Amino acid sequence: MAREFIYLVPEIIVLATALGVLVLDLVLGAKRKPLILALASVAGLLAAAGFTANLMGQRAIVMADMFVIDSFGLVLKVVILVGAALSVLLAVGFLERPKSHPGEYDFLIVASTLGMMVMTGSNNLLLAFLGIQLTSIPLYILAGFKRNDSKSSEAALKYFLLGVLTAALMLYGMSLLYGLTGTLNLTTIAARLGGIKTNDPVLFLGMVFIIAGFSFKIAAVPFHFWAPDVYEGSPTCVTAFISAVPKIAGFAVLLRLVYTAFPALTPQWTGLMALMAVLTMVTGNIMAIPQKDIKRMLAFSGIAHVGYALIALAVPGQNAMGALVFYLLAYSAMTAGAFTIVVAVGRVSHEHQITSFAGLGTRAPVLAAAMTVFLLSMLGFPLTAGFTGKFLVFSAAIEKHYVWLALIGVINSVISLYYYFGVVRQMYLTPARATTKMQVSGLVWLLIAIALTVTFALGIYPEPVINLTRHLVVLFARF
Amino acid sequence: MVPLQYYIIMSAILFTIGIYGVLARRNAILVLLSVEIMFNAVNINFMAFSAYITPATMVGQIYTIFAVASGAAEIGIGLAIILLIYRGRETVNVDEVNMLKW
Repeated sequence: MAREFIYLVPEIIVLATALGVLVLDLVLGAKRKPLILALASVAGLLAAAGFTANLMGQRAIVMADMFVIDSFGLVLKVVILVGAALSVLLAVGFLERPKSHPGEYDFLIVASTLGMMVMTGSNNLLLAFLGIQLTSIPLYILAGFKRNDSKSSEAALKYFLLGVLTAALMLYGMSLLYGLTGTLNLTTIAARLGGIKTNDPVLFLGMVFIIAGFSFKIAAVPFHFWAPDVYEGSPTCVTAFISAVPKIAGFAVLLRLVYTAFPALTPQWTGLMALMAVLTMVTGNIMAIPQKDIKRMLAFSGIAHVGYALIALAVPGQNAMGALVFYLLAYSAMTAGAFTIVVAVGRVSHEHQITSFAGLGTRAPVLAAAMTVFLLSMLGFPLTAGFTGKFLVFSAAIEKHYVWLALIGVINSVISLYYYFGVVRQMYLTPARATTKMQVSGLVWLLIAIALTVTFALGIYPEPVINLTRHLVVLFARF
Repeated sequence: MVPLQYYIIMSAILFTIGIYGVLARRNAILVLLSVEIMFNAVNINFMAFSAYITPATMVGQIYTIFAVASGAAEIGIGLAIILLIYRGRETVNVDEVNMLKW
């Protein structure tokens, strides 16, 4: 029993950090408070990431078979923790304004991160549900964090209502599955489904409802309606967090569910995933074209990227799983980088129209160059992370004879050229409305530098990470 | 003893009423109430399955306790958000909350 706690040390550290930040918030004076609280949270999150990395390679199942420790989950947990730490740093400038609540903000981010870690490791439908709730509830509050901004409140309301609706659907699916199998444990469900005929419509309905609930978290079509509104209305530093980190956890729990619990239903769910992948890619790319708000544009581009990643879920296998992990890593680096620049530009221009990037090439050349790199990476330009990620996903699809799926992915990448270059055109070819040089804080530069390093490293020399994802990333359950 | 089917049918009816309410009601609080009806339909399902299918283990009943607790937390946040909306624009009609285009 006591030995099991070794595997839970990262989660315990994150929980202690969350509570510690709340206490620190009470005892600290107002001076430099946001920075100190952020550094405390970052220290806790990075310590947890270190412990998680230290567990790498272990395989265990703890807490009455509820919580799985395997390298698939551990790799993603490290990415989640580092991403959360970076987004805490990104928010420091936002929280330095008077009457903002830095303690609550950092607490909510850390609490949500704990939920994502629970989601990533859960081997039980109850734990997965609680993880999703622990992730979502702080995010609802964070979306409405600008209390006097009615757009922010509206984003929170939409996120909340659609969130609880899909949570109810998911729960109903879980109850059907429980009725059929008499258990909530994913491994046991797989074993018991062996004895049930797999074309049972109730079983299929239950599976679809659960997948729908998880798809909401990754904003896959047709459960994406919240994404553009929430991205636009939330404070930009919250948007940066929502766009990257919870999606990793959502993919983790989705993959674990279908690989562990439903190997008997593989034809059904691969078909479902392929359908969702196509819908998500096409909807995301088409809807991104007419957008005028950069956050909405990036929201739809994020939806399109979820579509590419779903291709990897539609073609089960070790390579596809590695490709998915790699793609999530690349996606979070480039999205976080792009949103960091949106935050930096937004602090000066106080709006988030694509036209507010006009003339950025002369006003802040380095910033514009970095934005161009992130957009090229999203496009899938060679030598960037996005290219390697798409290459791995598409080749995993072709390897399993899903050439048409890869082809749709490539066509969609070409469509995305149009709206990504709309931003580049604004930055370099449209004259600036203001000619002053832009001031960017050192913290923002640090974050951009980290995102750029990851984007280039995964693009120019991806072999170590590819090898890691190919060989080290294994699920606890063999399928 | 009441057959299991009765519970499942009742829960399905409740769930459908909830979905109808979410789609038809325009008041944010009533939408929230409809979602709660859906949650309770799920709880009935879990309790019934727990009693009839796995009477030896209490998995379904424990699930219900957790679902009720997390549902309460959710409602707390939800009402706070609705209050925030009401303070901002004197209405809780979801059709009028449309500054961000859908």
